[in-house]
Amino acid sequence: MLGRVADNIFWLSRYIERVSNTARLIEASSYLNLDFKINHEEQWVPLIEISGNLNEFKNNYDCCSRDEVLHWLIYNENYQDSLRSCLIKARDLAASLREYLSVEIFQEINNLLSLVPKKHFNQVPSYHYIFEICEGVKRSNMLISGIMIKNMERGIGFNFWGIGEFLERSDNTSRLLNVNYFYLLPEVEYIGTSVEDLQWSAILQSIDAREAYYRRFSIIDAKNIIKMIINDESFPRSIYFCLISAKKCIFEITQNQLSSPYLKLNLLCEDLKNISSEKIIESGLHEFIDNLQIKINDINLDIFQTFCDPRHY
Amino acid sequence: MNFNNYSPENYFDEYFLENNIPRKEASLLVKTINSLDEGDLKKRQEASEVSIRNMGITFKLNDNIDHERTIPFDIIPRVISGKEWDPVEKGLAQRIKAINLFIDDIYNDQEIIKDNLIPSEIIKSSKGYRSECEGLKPPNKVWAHVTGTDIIRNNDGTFYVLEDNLCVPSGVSYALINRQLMKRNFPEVFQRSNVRQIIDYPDKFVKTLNELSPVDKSYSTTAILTPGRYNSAYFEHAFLAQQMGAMLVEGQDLVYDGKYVCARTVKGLQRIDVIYRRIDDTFLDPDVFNPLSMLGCSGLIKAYKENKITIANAPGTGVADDKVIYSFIPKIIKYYLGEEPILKNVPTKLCWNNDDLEYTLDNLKELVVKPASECGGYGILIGPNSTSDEINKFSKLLKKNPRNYISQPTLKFSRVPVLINNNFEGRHVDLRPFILYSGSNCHVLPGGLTRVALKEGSLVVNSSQGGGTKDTWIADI
Repeated sequence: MLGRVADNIFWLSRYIERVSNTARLIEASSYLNLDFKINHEEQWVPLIEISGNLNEFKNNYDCCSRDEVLHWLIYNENYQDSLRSCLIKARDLAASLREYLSVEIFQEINNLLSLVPKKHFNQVPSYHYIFEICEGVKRSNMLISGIMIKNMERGIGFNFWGIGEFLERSDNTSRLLNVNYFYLLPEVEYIGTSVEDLQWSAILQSIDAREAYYRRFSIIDAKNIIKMIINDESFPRSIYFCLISAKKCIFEITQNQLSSPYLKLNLLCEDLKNISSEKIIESGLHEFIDNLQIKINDINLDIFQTFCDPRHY
Repeated sequence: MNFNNYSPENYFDEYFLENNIPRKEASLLVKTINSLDEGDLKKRQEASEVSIRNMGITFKLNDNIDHERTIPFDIIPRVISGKEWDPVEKGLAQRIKAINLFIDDIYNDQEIIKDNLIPSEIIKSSKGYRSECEGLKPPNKVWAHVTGTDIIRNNDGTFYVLEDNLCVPSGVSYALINRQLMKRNFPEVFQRSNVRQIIDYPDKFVKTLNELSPVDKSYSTTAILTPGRYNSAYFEHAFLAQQMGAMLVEGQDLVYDGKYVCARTVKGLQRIDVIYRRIDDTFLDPDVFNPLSMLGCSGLIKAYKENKITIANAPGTGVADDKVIYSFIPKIIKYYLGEEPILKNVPTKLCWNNDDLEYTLDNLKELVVKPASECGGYGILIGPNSTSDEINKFSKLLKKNPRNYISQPTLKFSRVPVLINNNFEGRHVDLRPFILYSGSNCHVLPGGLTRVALKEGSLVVNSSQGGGTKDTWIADI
């Protein structure tokens, strides 16, 4: 497989995954905020902060209410990771992969883009339409994954798709954990369930982990949630699970020869496996996540340099 | 919906004789269409259009806007009887064989020039002539591995060759997809018409290329060289790569390692044995042709000269795309094969020649005048359809550069019924069959791409100027 094509597949897979996770985040936050009678700016800003683009965001808007934040995350083409921006890039990549992708994937990506037409921030739709967009995006993502799994031969292309998907998912999931860090508790504390607990519950919901969590642990406990999200070996959206899956994909590509990204991933997986949630909380969840993201990013770069960089030859 | 109000008028209609009786090869179709329920045909047409859109079969118009559109497809197939097609097939095979011998000759011993059959200036001044290719000896002396020859039928039904496209002929993907659409949307009639299959074309193409590979065909690697997704024919490049199991590469993916041309793959450099190139000669290799080209690969021609890679079609082949050279093809066939041409050329006058130029200038209103080397139907004057202003402007162009023009009588191309709104109307069509040649084997695609001039009365069929397409059935009824 051409290095250029492998790189395109890797990025296409990442954008499709990114879009799905953004939609999940928006959906979970929207449901959560419906329970809070007051629409605080503070409730929406964390969604921007977890991607580190708060300054860029402030350059585009006068305030940070629901409409501005949702417009930024969904429609704004000035934001490189908005749904619309990612899907435009995805469609471009899919067009250059015509000879490789099945036509249903191509169609589905076109369909995805049609869910988020160009819009100005004061045209941000109501909750009802936002939920429809999020559901549509999640469903399309499942469909595309399903087509890949059912129809794609298990060769280099399939494995590059996998690496992209799993590395992106581990990165996006780690950002979710940071939401609480940036979330400022409102002055009024909710009677009964604490706001923080509701927030954790929303995070679990956004990665479809809520039911799985409750099957294992009966109450919300930060330690257990961190354990489940970071180093659970059987839950498919846990960071550890994603990294192990990515590692397997790289192994398939190099066919038993140990490559630099493989070795780095291996090390990272070992670290994650052995660390306890108490330790993570002790040294600071936020710092832990920042470190994790740096390592994942380094692995992404290494993959490009090892397999796809034309200057290699 | 029926053909009761349809009239062939004064043209050769491929469905109906002058007295509105359907031709034998079309009678089953006419009967079926006439018996369809109201709106049924329109539904089948619309279903085809949806398929085309969903498959993303687009063609980019070469204007500044990033504009992709689907090529209009008409569901009524064009039908030609097998008996009438057989001599055309033989004629095409004969023609391509002779053209290949011609090209090999002019880049090597130049016997045809020495025997004074074609002036050397005409050949050297052809836009596609490449002096860099002098002395080259490609495998089996094959220069044109795939050719798209444009054919029309005159108003007595005779087939004529309009032009040969040897450089980068395109359109076969639309022909293959149109066939798929017809099988899906009109299966009943298709089966009973005993239509000759075209589905093995990609396979035959691979075999043709493998025969000329520098390595054993069982492990020959073929790549299709594309300028990239912004090229108007990119869909076809990707489609053929998929159908042929060939790698789709761009210039940036290729590198010359000192001996072979290789593709940069995830596992390292992979040698390419045959390259089907869909870019013009001048972009193939910046070391030899245009030094600014980013679409090709430095060292490609060096590897080619050393027979380490086969290039299809060979650089230099475009010399025979020239319409002035086209006019010599009947002589070329006689010269190399000692045979009378089976397929006729349209009688052509060369404005390079003073008498012909005078005749042309005097009769512009009745003639079709074409530039020697434009494609896409641009730069053509169709006398009977032009205003006196256009004719005056053209006459000036002609006088400025006579070598660049040929003139032909305006032929009344044949027509085929087309579904226009809810009526059947006749529209002019041409045909582009594709011919695969390996020296020892020649395969002519039965039928090919039928292009339709959708505008009423128009003779311009090119998709870049609003033409549409139909499936073509060679029916052994």
